[in-house]
Amino acid sequence: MFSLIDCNNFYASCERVFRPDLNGKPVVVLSNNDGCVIARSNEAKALGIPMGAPAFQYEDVFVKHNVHVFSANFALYGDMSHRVMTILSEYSPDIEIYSIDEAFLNLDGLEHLNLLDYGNKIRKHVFKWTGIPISIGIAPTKALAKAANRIAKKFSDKTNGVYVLDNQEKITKTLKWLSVEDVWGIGRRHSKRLKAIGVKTAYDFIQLDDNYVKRKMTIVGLRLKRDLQGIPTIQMEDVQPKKNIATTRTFETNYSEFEQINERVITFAVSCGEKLRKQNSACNSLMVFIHTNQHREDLPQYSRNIVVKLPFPTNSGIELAKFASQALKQIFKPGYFYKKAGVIVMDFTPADIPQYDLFENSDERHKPLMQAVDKINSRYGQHKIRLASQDQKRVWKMKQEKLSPRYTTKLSDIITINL
Amino acid sequence: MEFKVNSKELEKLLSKVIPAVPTRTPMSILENFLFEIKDGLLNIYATDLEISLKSSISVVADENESFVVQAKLLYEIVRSLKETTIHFTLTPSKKVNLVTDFGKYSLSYLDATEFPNLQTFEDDKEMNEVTINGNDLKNAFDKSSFAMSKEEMRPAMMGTLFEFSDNGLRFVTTDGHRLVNLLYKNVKSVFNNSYVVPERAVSVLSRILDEKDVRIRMNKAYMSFKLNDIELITRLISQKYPDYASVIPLENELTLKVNTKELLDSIKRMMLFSTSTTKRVKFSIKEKEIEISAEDLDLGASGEEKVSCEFSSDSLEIGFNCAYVQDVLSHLTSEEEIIFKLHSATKAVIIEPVQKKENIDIIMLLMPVRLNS
Repeated sequence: MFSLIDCNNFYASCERVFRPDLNGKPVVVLSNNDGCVIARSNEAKALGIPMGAPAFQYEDVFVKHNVHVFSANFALYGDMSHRVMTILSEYSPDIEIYSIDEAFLNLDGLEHLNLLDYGNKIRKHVFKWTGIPISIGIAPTKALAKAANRIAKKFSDKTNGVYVLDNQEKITKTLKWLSVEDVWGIGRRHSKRLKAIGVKTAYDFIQLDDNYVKRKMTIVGLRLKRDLQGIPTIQMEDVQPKKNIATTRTFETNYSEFEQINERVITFAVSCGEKLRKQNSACNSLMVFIHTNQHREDLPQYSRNIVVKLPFPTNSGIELAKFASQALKQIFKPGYFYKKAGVIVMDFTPADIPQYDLFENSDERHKPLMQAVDKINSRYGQHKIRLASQDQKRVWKMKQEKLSPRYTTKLSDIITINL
Repeated sequence: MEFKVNSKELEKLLSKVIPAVPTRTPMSILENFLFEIKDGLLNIYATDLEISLKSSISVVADENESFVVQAKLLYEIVRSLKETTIHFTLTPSKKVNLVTDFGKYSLSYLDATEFPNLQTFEDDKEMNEVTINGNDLKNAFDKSSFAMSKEEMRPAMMGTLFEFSDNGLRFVTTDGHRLVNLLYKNVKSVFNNSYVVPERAVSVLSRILDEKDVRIRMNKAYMSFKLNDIELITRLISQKYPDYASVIPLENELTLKVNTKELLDSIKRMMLFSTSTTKRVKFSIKEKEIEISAEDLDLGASGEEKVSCEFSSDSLEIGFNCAYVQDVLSHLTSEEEIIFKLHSATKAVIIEPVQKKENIDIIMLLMPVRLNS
């Protein structure tokens, strides 16, 4: 048996943990730069605020209904997620953390327990220790657990947040209820095509011929079909180190000067270096891209990217910054207003086994230096120590006007309680 | 316009020129041969814009003419014919007809003006020129071309350096991880100059070189290789070649003498046990023997072997990419024994034959990989 555990309205719930006064009130969380709505409490959903709504368009709605708006506080969400996952890992040795707010637990060998009680125990434990409400779906396969979770959440008044698909009758009923576009792994394109041939629900989908599914949706589609039929086919996955790492941002305003964009690109490269070191990789290639605002048809448009093969594998922020800046020089054209830029590092090798090069080598001194930088930044806050070419003039700062305190990760932000 | 040619002679000619025809190209005109009939001579050209090949035979023709015809189709039909005389006729409807005793074939042709302009080398006394035996040149390519880089980050390293001087003709290739430096002392030049020849020219030349002499001529941008009845002209890589001389270490005083074949066989076996991403092998060198070991943590497999040697010091541990060691050794198999000149675990290693040859100096460099500290 598998179980899918999903945190309800995760970012909004995190904000509420430390602001109990917001319980029962509408809460939304905005994306980086306070751009779009990325999380909504149930009350906000009820007001008809859609996922991804541009914040500036809904300004009036927020004011009118007294919606509490927060800037994304990923330090808080990341830490809360870690707490939830740590508790979950007590309930099964085999856990797959699927996203910041979702995890699969493999419950094989626990079938002798009453799984409904087990789910309720997990739910109570997580809520009591972290304040985060969760929904749990339990079923014979991962795809069915995902469907069960949907029911647990949708009908929480009846299910109390836990739903177990433990017999064929329940499974069939669920599949008949579940729309095909809501099936885990069926995207917009496939669901459109399936609907066109009369496949409306998950139940219709599993009636399709194997060959047809394989032809139209490859082996991935066929595996999904088997999983929905109750034959465990999609297995638990180990965490794989990432194959490439990107740091990209949409700018708050348009930039036209090389210096401004260079400063951003260097900061992105430094951030990629940090992420590389975290997974103990070094990269052999790097891509830099820039583009103008495609929605401003009145302005001249330009977009370019460039991939450079590095002369040696590195994860040093200093070296990555140098290569990224050189690459930017090659694609930057004056006279345009740039809206977005990014750095993507790829082609990874393990960091600790470099092949020495005859002509150019990664500077050996950077290794201890970067370790020290990482330590300082993790203790005293991001970007506390940075390159001189980064951010000094404060040209850029993420728009975070409604940022909540970092309750759990910063000493000065810890709440004081008066007794 | 018409001319006649023997099918086997034409096949030989086409087979020499066809290597320059690119297999995949966005410019379809390059998939053709340029035929040029001039004063009783049939010249056939092919190019991929980086290199061009030209070969010629005498023909009996009634006038001078040039035209462009599909390379692959023509080559395939000529190749499959029995020995016969082919009678070529150009018709006003842009067809070239090939008539033999037993068949007639018709191909479309294009005007010669459609074909890109080709660099030519006229006889000029002022031009730098060197002659080298074809087998020697082929040997130099065979020994060195493996170390050319495939990475576009450093374009000069994607070619072979030709360094002409009164010391001889030196060939250098490197990808930054290994380097080959080969000098023919008896091919002296009166001028001192170096040029970088792209990989494609080297690989095509390797296929067509034989024991006959090769006349090499060059200007700043192009180099010409004239074999008996065939001429290859290549564009040169204009980027500066890295300063190879400065990375050849002078202070490597530790010497390790070892049998080439024994070491190569051992490396091939250890390669099976090395991690596929790093291909790392460890050499633990002692006075009388090297212990070579590799470990594949993903497969949980490991291996170690001992190879006897003569080492001038007590002990040294050094790591290599075993694919690189194999490359170097397999290009030195004509040598019974080789010497590794070492300094330390992080510095370049010199590998050279024990038996020095009179006219050829060859050394190879290999950069180590870091062993886990």
